[in-house]
Amino acid sequence: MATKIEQLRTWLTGLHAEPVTIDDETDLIESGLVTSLQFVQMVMEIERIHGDKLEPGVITIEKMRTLQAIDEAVFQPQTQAA
Amino acid sequence: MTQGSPRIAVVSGTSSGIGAAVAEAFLERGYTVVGLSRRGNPGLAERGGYIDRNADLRDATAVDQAIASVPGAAEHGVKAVVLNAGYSPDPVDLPKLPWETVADTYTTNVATALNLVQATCHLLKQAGGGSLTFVGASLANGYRPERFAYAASKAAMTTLMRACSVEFAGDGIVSNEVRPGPVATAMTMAGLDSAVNEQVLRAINKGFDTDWLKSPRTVAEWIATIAEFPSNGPTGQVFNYSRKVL
Repeated sequence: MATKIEQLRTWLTGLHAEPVTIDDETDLIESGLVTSLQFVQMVMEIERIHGDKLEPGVITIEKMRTLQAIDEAVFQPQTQAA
Repeated sequence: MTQGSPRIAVVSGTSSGIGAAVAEAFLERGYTVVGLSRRGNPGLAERGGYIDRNADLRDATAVDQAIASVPGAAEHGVKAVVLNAGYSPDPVDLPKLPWETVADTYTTNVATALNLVQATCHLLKQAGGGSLTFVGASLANGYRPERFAYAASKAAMTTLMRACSVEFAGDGIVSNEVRPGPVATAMTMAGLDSAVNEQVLRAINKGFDTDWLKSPRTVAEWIATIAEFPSNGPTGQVFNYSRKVL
C-alpha cells in the first residue's frame, strides 16, 4: 500500500495533463504545480488521506509548501502518535 | 411599512455559496429572508425567519408567483433585494466560443436579474424605499477574452444596476453592485462542498501572488452592509473588493 505521502504525490501529479516530476523538496507553489484554487483542494485531499481534519496550526503556507514539509507536519506526527 | 413590521430581504441564488451566506447574514440582522433558487436550501429552510422558494429565475412568471406567495410582502413591502444568482461557463478561447454559450449565459444572468427587479420594485416602494444590490464581477471589465461570455453578462448587469439607480431614485431605492473578487465557493472551486477554513484562505493569501481570496461569509457581510445603505445613501456605485485589475 502506498504511503500517505505517495498518495498525495499521485494526486498532485493527476492535476496535470502533462507528466510532471514532484520531488519531496519541490516547492509546490513557486513551481506552479499547485494554484491558489487547487490549494484548497489539496488541503481537502490531505485531510482525506490523513483521515481527519487538520489541526489549526498546521495549515500554514510554510507547512504546505513541499511534500516533505507536509509529511513532517501532518503524516509523521500521526505515525509517531500511533 | 409601519414601525415594528418585519423587514423582508429577498436573495437570489441561496442554494449555496455567496447567496446562502448572504441569507444567513440577513437572518442574523433580524430580517425575514426570502431565498429564491432552483434547488432550494433545506438547511436554511429549517431556520426561523427563512422562507425557501424554488423558482427558475429565468421565468418571469415563476419569479412573480414566488414573490407573491410570501406572507406579508404585499403588506409590508421589501427592504432589500440581493441579485446574486448567476452562471459561470467554463473558459473558452474567444475564436472558438459558440454564440449559444454567450446567449445562454446572458439570458441566465441578465434575465434573472431583470425578472427579479421587475418582481420586487413595487415592493421596495411599498416599504418606503430600500435597496437593490447586485453581485457583480471584476471580469466585467473585459480583459480576459476566454471569459467573454460571463464578462459580457456581468457588464450588462452593471448597466442594469445603474439604470435602476436612476429609475428608482425618486422612490428611496438605492442600487449598487458588489464585486467580491475571488471567493472560495463551489462555483469557483470544483469539489468544494462546505465552508472553507479561514486558515486555508490566510495561507493562500500569504503564499500566492494572487488576488485576495476570501470566504462567502466575509463577502456576505459586505453585501448586507451595502444593502442597508440609507435611502439617501450612495447609489449607482460599484464596490470592488478585488486587489487586482482584472
